[in-house]
Amino acid sequence: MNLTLVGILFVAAALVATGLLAAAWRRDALAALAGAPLAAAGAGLASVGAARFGSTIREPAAGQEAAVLVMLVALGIGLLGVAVAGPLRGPSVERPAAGAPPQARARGRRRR
Amino acid sequence: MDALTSVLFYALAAVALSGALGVALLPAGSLRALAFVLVAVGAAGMYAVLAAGFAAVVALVVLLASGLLLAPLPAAGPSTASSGRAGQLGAVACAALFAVLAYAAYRGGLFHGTYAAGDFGLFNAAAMGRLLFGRDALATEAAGALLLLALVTGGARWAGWAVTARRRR
Repeated sequence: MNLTLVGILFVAAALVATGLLAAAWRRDALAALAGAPLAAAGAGLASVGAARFGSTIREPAAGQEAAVLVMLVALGIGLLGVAVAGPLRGPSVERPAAGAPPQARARGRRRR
Repeated sequence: MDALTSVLFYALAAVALSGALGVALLPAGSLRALAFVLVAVGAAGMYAVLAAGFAAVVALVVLLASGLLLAPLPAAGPSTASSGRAGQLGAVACAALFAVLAYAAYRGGLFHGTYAAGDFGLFNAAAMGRLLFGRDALATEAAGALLLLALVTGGARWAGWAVTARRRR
């Protein structure tokens, strides 16, 4: 079994499609942001593979450079999305279960 | 490449893809964070197998940071998983996209060449530095500006939220 550029592009395509699936499957826009680093990892893998197996390329490290830039942009998108939309939600408040006793439900309410 | 390297690459690809499916489908929490770790390890391992050590380190850091940021976020509603027709249509569209990309990779008539990884080393930080800060310095500055903007915005929003939460107490 030999590793070829076609195999690398298959894996990269699967990663990109899974990233887009993560973005499409989530109802919440902030949770959908998790697809961005997955798709970026797939795109970077494709560029690294093309640079690894394309011997006619002038600069062999250009694929790695593209992968690094794409990953940094994905991190920036995630950071910016969390920065803009994350604090609007506030901290997670544990809600008591529906069948819980009244004391447990009162403990879950906010104290004023 | 020898067979052992190929087997290692495909094993890491299986780890990364299973983690990616977990990120896409699991609810927010520790399981999703574990899926992010699987993706990070698998993707960084694949980069390292392809003699791209610098990209492997960056991918590991970026994916772990994304997992820390996005995995434990509380849900806005009762459930963040999509159950409607739009989510199903999106999943079908993603499967179609994968089919198109796989067909393009298989029938693309790509030139099959190789290069020796020892030409510029595994980590090749010098070549990466020449490219990032020399030839493509503008792209590097744009990515750095985006990260700086995101960090400043995040710090300001979280500071404002903390002040508001303290006043409510």
